Amino acid sequence: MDPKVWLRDEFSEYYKKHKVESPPMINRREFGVGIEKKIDYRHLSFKDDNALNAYLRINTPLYISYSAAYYEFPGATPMIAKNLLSADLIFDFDMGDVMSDVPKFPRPEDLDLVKREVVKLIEDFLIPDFGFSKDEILVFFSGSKGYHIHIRSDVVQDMDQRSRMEIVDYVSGIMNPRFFVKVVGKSIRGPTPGMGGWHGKIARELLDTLSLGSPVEMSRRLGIGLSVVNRLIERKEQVVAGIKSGVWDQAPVSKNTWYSILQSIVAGRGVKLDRNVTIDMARLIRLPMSLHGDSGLIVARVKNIDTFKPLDDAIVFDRDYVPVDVPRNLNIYLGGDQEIRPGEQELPRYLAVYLVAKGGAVPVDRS
Amino acid sequence: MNYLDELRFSVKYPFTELAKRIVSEMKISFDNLDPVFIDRAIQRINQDVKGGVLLNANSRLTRVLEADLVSFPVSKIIVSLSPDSFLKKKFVSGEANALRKFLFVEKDEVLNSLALELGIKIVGGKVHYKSYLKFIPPDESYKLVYQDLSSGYIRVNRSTLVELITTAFSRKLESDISRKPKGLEHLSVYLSEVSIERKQSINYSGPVDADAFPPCMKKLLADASAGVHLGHNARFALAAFLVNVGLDEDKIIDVFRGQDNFNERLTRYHVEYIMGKKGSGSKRLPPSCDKMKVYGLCFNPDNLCKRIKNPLGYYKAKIRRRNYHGSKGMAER
Ligand code: SF4
Repeated sequence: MDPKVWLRDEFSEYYKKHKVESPPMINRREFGVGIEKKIDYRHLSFKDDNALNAYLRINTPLYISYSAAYYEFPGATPMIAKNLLSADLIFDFDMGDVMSDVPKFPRPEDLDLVKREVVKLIEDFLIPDFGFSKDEILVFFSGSKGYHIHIRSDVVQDMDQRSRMEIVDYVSGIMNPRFFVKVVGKSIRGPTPGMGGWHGKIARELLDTLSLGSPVEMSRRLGIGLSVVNRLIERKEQVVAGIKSGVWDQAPVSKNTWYSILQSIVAGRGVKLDRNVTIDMARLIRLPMSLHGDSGLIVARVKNIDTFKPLDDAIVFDRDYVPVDVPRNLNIYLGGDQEIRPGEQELPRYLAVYLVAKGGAVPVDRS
Repeated sequence: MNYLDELRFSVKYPFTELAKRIVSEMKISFDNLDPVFIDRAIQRINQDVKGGVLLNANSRLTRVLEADLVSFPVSKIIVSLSPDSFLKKKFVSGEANALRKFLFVEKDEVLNSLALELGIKIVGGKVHYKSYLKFIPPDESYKLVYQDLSSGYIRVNRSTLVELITTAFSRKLESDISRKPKGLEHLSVYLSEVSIERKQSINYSGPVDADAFPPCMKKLLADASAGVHLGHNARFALAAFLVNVGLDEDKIIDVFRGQDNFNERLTRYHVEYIMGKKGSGSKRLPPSCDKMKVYGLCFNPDNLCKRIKNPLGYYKAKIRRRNYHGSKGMAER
């Protein structure tokens, strides 16, 4: 049986039993759907959630995305005719942004690396710096290899592209260290730990690192050689006192060494994400609570990021057995580590869907 | 404040409610304007296009102050009747320059209340990031990443606040003069008394195809031609890009003619340096996209931007496609 046809049947059954809650102001959003690709068609629009759910049951795409933007005419083409009214603020996190080789069957540890970036964004930036409250920050598992954050508060709605770009540059730490450490006369001035924004983050991280016992760890975190680290340690008290008061020349290092230290700090603390998704207001993002065609997992709302386990919590298909053919031995991590032996066999439906979606198994027709 | 003080304040800050009230209480008829006001308004526009209006904000004479004040709305009307966008830009930047000078020596409380009046959310000397981003000045050092941001507010120093107020004012003025006021068309006759120095426009036809420029360079070029002040990095990036796409030296120099501190000899030196005629003898490339981002110059990247590392790569890819698709003229989006 053709895997895509089988998968769509499974998805359709799911959508018949479960209503997808539509995003706010659904009639102002553009939708894009795909079977062959993530988006085969866009410029779709639905007047309400009944229309959306009927579409999912009958047409059953394998992927469905919607616009963060609100339009006067969401279905109009070309883009300009839609008339953009406002847009949610989106952050997109993907395994590709944190690792170079993205595995086909990710392990929980791989997804945890992405999650770490999400937590960084929320706890180091969105809440303390921008002053968003936890309730305003909606986190979703992408259904496959990442996470999305949607912020729908009024404050973000009418922000232009330039503002969004500044925000994403801020959280990813795209910067020139010369604006933090400056030579004033014969002295080197730097940020103090009590300051807001990156200034305080940099100073605090530096003090933190200096308080570490291990020179090796210090050298790793600051990205400098052990000899420089040892020079810092020798004068540690003066260095620490200097940083606390914004005078950075108490350390026996040059301005350029400070620059490279700053670069390492920022590389570690900046959030790794897909900058373009935030900037491009016309982007389509995976629809929350829909199924992802690459995995059969749901685009789940993450209420508690610390305890959320994507490879367990995003499973929605049943555990009854269905026949599939597995050509090759597989190690997968959905719902726990498992080794799947090759050959025709019956597998729990949720696993069968996952494997078929990933091309690791083909459905067997026994009717 | 007595009337004289109110007038002085209004001459400096003609966009405030106070200034508007005074003007309306003067019961001026725009159909039949006192020639004194018209003369002053024309003079104002002419001073603005040359760099900035000179106001008599310290005068003791009500007559002089009133003429200065009323010249603001009148000059706005006259400029708004012009189809010339260059004149409009010059007018706005001249008014902004005049405002900036007053703001620099203004008391903190006044700066605060002016900011509020222009829609800048400011509390205890801190500006909400959204207002900040809305009116963010173009220089690299103003990028959000360098700001002291916490709980949604940015601690700003005086000069930053002055820039924010000036930008907010300029935006408002731009939008005011983009609409033609109804029933006042007769005032357009005075446009003939405005003299504006025009640089000859740059012609990119021939081998250089400006349509294929990346978004960042289109923006820089548009800013440069409109006389918007460009920082050092912006100038270098634009000049290096134009050198590398093969625009003539003289045309590149013309691009920078609108800059307020334009110096032909120095500009030529820089351009020749980039071309490799001076200094190391090798041609310099424009900054990479990563650097452009750091400088705050990467603006509005599109899909093609994801596949290139340098603005020049964008141009080359675009030209290649264009040649390949021939006259079909594929649109990138
Ligand atoms: S990505 Fe590069 S080419 Fe595109 S706008 Fe940014 S700097 Fe310019």
